[in-house]
Amino acid sequence: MSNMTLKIKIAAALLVAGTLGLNAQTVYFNGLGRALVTTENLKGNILSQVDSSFSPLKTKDTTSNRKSTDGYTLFDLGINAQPSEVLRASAILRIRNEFGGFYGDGSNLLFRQLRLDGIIAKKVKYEIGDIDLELTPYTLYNFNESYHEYEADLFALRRSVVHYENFNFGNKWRMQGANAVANFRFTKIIEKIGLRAFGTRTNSAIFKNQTSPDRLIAGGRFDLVQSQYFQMGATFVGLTDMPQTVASAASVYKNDVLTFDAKGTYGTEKIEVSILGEGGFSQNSYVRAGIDTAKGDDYFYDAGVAVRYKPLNLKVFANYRDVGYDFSSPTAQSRRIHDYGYATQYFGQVFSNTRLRTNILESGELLAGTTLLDRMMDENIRNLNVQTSLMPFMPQYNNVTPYGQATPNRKGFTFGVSGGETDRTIKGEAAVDMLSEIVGEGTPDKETRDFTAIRAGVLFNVNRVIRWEKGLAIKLGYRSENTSRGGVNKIDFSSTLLDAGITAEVVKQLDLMIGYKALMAEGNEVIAMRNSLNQIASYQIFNVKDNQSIVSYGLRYRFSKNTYFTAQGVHAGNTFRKESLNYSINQLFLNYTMIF
Amino acid sequence: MKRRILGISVSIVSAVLLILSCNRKSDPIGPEYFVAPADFSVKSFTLPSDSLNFRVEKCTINAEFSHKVSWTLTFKGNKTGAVMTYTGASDAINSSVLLWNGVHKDLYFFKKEDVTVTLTFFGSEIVKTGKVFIKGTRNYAENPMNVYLAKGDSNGYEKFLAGNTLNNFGSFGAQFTFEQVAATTRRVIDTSIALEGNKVFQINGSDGGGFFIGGMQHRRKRTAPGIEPYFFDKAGWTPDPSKIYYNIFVYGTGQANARMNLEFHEADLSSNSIKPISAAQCASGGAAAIDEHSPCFDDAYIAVIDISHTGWKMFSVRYSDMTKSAVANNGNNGNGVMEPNRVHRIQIGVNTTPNNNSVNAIWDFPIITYGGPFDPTK
Repeated sequence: MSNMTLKIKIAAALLVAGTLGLNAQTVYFNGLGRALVTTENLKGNILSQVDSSFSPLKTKDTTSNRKSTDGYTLFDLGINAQPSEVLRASAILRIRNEFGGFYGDGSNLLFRQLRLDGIIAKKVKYEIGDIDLELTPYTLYNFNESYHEYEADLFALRRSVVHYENFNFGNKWRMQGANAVANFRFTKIIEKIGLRAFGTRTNSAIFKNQTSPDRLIAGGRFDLVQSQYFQMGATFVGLTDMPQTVASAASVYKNDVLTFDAKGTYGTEKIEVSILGEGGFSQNSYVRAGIDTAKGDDYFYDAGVAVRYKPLNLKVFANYRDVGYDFSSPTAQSRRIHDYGYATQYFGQVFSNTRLRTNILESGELLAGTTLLDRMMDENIRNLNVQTSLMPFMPQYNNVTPYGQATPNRKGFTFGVSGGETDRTIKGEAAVDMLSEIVGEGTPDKETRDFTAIRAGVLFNVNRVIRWEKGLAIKLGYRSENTSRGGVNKIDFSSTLLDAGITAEVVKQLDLMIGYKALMAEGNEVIAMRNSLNQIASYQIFNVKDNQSIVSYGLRYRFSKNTYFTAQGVHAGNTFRKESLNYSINQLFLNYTMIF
Repeated sequence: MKRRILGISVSIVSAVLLILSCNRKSDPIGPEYFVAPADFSVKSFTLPSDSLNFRVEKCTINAEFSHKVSWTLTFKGNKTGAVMTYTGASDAINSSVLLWNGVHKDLYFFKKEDVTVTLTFFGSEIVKTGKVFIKGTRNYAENPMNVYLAKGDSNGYEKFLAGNTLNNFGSFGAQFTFEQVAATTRRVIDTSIALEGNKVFQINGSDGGGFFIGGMQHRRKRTAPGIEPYFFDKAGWTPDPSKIYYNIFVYGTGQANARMNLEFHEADLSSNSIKPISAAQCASGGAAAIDEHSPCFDDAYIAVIDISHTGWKMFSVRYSDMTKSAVANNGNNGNGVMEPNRVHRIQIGVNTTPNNNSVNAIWDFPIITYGGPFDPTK
């Protein structure tokens, strides 16, 4: 019996079993269906390089793809069996057919998610299997890949597909294990105490050679809410290798993070003042048997004040943080995206299929990696695993906090303002990071980098002003970064990211959408490359003069709140180091999505 | 009440900040580097004009730069692909900065071959290249942390004549014994796939229904009564099993059933004791020698390695990670204490799992090291 046939039979059996069991228990279904097709072409001097300093070719590239058509149809069927109010088993069964698949050829069937959950003694909620976890930004947090809160709806739609495929649900990490939460309410002195504990496994010795042990992540959180005026908490996350799970462990990794946080609030009818902060420690060790050992302990703190004017939901805040250079929190510092060196879905290889498009080097320097378009639409470059070493990155996209709020070796102020609501006339925010390194990196004169980042965005629901019954919204986003360092090894690097978008409901439920996104980056930077011990082993130099832009336009018809069809045209242009390398990708994107 | 709570929270946050605000060291992190400035230039770049014999000399290059800069110097064997890389930060390279003695990093050893030398600079597109010739390769026995398994300074099997009679082990013959089941080939091969030098050792055959195909024992015999002929008699070595490593390079041919045993055989009873020195003598109760390991009285410590890979791969096993033989009258009757100073035999055994299979095992450069796995850069 083929594997495919077996899977289909198992799925059918589950469906039948679930359906027949209706009288004994509650069985209900949910799911997502999606049909997605793209057709694209690649143009530019990337296809005509002959013996340039970054192309290995001595002859013109005639074999790399210039055009492609890709896509798929998938159906994620969520089957939920609830035999009682306190027990539930759920599975998401995925049937996917690649575009061009015929009579099952190119089709596959798999379980996207399996989970058991329930309630013990009306107090403890638990879930076992595929779980999504998030704690604080310094402990367990899957931080966003870039500043895109105010990008055009067109781009947000593309990004939502990638997020769904890669389990990027908010800032949660998708893991396999068990999670339990309990809340206890009190009538005097303390309002509530919350407890959470979880355990997951990230490395499996079963599928590895006999020297890589199981790696477990375990942790929990304690919450104490004294009243609406004061609350505090403690969080622990530990990563531990289990050397006894293999015959001879080549290495043993251990990392513990313990933090404490508190928030005090004082308010009147209109104004609310909060003082809040989080601080903690990390302890890290990595022992490679008979070779070497790396250890690092460090701490961080992040404290600030926020004032909110309630009638307008207007908030002004200021924070100061200090995150030590050895502060290690892999579950909060792992990046979502591999910035370079990974094959993309579209035009993955160039120079007669000899080089990855996302890893074009010139004299050892990275000339081109992923582009704005790749980062928005590509499903293959996402990182789904907690990484114990800080991952390499491109400074064009985020040089100030490349490892999220928990980026090590940073200190300084963040302040800003936010206000409004999505369903009101206006919603917006602006924030400034004024940070610096705590210690210099590699440079002999102890000079440290200074960072300035400004980000701002606004959503303007124009229809509410002109009293138009249909939707008409404008979005604008801006993010600017500057990095500088003096001394022997000077650094001067800047980048600007622009977003603009309009969504206009021209006919009932039919939206006309336009989007624009651009990135300009220029200057020199030196990025540390880490070894498996998370020590700086070498450096990657960047001399950048990049211009990237995406123009997109299209339509979206909304059948219901969660069901839509969209057709979009995309033009993405990229030039690297002035014009020495350029290419553009033009794409037609069709997407029908149904969620029920 | 509200003010009190606010005061408490401010106090807690302040206390936490105060506790955490301890001093950190201020030294820069990571290796130091110097980016080449825009007006950087190379004033001179000179390579040795004579062929290099690393048995008697070391090599440097001579170069001068306009500024202090981070540089990378790479030696790459044109035939083997062996690589050695040096990095540094200076305004010149000479013998006080760098001396290459023929070592390499990664897997492949340099042979007698042309080597391309490349010098690059951090932040500059300037590249300097040249060529040197190696006529004598590195002798890793010069490193006091290494002991060759073969006698003398023979790298791998270079001193032995190719062939399968094994009489051609010549004066070294007394150091080796061979065990095999029927239809097994055991020989030294002169081959271009040799990882180090030109020769490798091969055992190729089937197990004849058991699991054992063949093996090679490297033996040390006592030179006088009571004088223990230790393998590891180098200065600075102590009989600490957590410090001693058994290293070997194996050329796998992708056979899923292929396994290799790396074994240390001790003489727990004094070498002055008269005792059986083979499984057959153990079974018959005979006693034939007074100075060797006895399978029925002494310990044997074993590591089984999976050699189902394809191509060359280095294996390194620490003595203390090995396990005592579980086979009756075959190394499980000793005192149960790991004693490297009592090792009389070091064995390489070729096996199959499951039984009734064939294995073609090729290996090179077995070497015992102290303090860590074999490091080809030293």
